[in-house]
Amino acid sequence: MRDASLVARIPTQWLRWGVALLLIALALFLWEGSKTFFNLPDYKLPHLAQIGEAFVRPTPQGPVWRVLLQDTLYTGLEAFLGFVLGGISGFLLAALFVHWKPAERGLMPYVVASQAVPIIALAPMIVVGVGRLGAPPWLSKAIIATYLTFFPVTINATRGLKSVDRDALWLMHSYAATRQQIFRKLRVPASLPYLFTALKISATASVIGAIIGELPVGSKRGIGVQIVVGSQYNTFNPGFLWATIIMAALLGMLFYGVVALVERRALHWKQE
Amino acid sequence: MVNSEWLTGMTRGSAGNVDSRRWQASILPPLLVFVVVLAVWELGVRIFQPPTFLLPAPSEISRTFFANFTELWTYGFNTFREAVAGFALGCGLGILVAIVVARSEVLSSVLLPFAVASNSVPIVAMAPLAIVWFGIDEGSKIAIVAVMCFFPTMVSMVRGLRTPSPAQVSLMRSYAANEWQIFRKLRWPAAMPFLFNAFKICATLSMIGAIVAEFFGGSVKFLGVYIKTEANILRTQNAWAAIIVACILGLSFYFAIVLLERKLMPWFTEEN
Amino acid sequence: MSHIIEFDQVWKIFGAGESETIALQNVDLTVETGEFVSIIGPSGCGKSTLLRLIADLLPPSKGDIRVNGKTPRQARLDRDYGMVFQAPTLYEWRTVLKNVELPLEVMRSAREDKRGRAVKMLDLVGLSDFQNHYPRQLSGGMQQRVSIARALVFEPTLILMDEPFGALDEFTRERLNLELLDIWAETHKTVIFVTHSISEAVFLSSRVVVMTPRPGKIARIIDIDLSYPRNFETRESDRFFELVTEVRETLKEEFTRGEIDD
Ligand SMILES: Nc1ncnc2c1ncn2[C@@H]1O[C@H](COP(=O)(O)OP(=O)(O)OP(=O)(O)O)[C@@H](O)[C@H]1O
Ligand SMILES: [Mg+2]
Repeated sequence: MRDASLVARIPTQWLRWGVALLLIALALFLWEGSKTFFNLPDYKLPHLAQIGEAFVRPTPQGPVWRVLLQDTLYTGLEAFLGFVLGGISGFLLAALFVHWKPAERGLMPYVVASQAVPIIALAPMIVVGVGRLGAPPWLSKAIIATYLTFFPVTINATRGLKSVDRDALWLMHSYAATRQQIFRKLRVPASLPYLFTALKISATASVIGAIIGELPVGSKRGIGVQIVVGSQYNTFNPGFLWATIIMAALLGMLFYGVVALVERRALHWKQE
Repeated sequence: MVNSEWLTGMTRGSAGNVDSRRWQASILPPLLVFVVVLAVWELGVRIFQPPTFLLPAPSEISRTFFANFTELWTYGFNTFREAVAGFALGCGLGILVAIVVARSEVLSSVLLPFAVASNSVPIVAMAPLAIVWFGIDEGSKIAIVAVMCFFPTMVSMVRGLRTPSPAQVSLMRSYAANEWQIFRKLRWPAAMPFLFNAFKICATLSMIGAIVAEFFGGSVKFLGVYIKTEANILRTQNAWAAIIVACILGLSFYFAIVLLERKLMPWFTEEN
Repeated sequence: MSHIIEFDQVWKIFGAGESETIALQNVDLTVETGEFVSIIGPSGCGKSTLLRLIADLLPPSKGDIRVNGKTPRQARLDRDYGMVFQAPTLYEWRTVLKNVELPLEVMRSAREDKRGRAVKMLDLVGLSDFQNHYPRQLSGGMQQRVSIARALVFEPTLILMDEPFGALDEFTRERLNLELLDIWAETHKTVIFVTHSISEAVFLSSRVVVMTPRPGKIARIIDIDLSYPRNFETRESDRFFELVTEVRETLKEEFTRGEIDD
């Protein structure tokens, strides 16, 4: 059975990769083609070679790619810290909601509303406020990533923890299981598919949050700072802005990819 | 639900007192939380007197809100216009592309994973590029919002258009329906719930996208720029007042979509 | 104590006022240890409710219930019964083996021998080769057998089964009936078995409890005097047909009476 599905999957996988390569080739072709055809200036659309060249240009701190990598990792750490904190606190609040109705009644509407509202707009105030207090600069970014992760996780974890059906619960009661056992052995595993849906959304959101947190003046490190620098020097070094944005995109995809990978591991019992 | 209730035709739930129970269960607790949080916030600020830039009192924020009323709402609607324009552009394109893509099984199964993966890319980080391309004013913000709205709409729409099973399609064919009729009578209605789901997501995304894109630069007469500069010069109460405007606009946009959904699809009642 | 279950004028009423439903009306029932008792009746007559009262998943509205001489609550806390639900109710994130071990984990009993007992039970239901499969990889009948193994693994004295084979085809159902009788003979349990199928009830049971349509009352209790062990020939015997007819007539009588009452 397993073999058959594997064999059946290989061609589509290959097809995907083939199409991916084809799309990339097409994009590159369109890129250079339209640059020539529309006679676009370098600051609008640099040559691909210029982006590559921007990556390898030397600086006092080593080649640009290494500097960008360090900044990307820095942003990644800020985002990761917030992601973990937000994920844990969101799950804990969901656990409280499930066991204590009044908390859910009183707070859940706000958690839900947070999803229809641009809470990310708080970012500049958090950066300035926390910065003024003399806290380390990464803290404000981590806080932004935390609350961007927190809300979706709370919503989905609550849904997931409640998604157990009556018979599954009665089965536990028939064993005279304790609340704690019901939580650990039934509610938590049942909530995982919901949780991962939220985590995948939050993975990207926390990266965005960390980048946005690096925009206000006074920030020194992070890929967000580099993006700002890139936009300021775009006319002089048109490949560099693209290089910074590529790094930001890669960071987002890395976060998402890791979560998706962990999800596949954790939910292997689910049908594909 | 309880197993055979609907089969046995038993009706339950007394009609009376529904309103008062609804009030007690779903409106009173969040209202209570609102009042308590506001009171604690106000009192806390009065007693501990943190610097205003860190946390202004609610009374201070509301004073600013009304003092700068016209100014704030002018900026608010400037940003809102960008959001709506980007929303219309992005969702419109998303629908059109989806209609083309969904016609082919191969095309949709090969392209969809890429469109989904694009969710993981922090698109707002590309705002500086958009500024280079479309100028520092509305154009660049609308472009970013449009890109952000495009992918979720396209993905949902392709999924929606493809929900009718091949059996349903052949049934239509057996009535000698032509492609256009199959589209009008089968695929389009099937896609509506998906489309509105995407609209709801994009309504929020578009406000977020517009504000965050403004963080990267633009005229002061827009909410994002205003929030950022006011936070920078430590007039945090102004930034908070602007955020309230952003929240009201975000929620209104969202509920406008919900209302439209109710009007266009009264048969589709939401479960959540 | 040889009465394992005693119902003394038990009522179960759901809701209140306009929406009141009498699910069980004045039920008196005694089951002896080691019996195989089937409960049969039209849909909505309160069979599942009756089982849930025994299991202390619902409280009775009136009357007294004793399980193993104790209150249902005490019996539940003492883990006196194992329940098999209408749907297999396996935890999809656990392998077959882990599902069968679940009650032992929860009860923290006989830690050393958890695995061994689960394996033995899977053997009993003929699924030793599927220990490491996940529920989604099994057929409906196999899943239901896992859930039977899970109910037996902690050796409760009483097994409660709510239409366990309701969703299966006739063929599988008859095979599982035979398996169930084997297990019952081997383990000397008491079984309370809810079913919609008259022939299944007659084939399995030492007694069949026939219930009336809503409000659920016990119409009649029919002794099944077919000798154990039963097999395919039992189903073809004249006495089997007589008993099936008797149960059917009782059901029909109650049904028409119910309609006239309404
Ligand atoms: N939780 C509940 N709340 C309200 N009414 C209920 C509840 N559970 C059961 N009932 C009602 O009690 C009656 C008996 O239900 P029960 O589930 O015991 O029937 P049943 O005999 O098992 O039916 P079936 O054969 O269809 O499973 C039904 O009318 C049902 O609607
Ligand atoms: Mg039932």
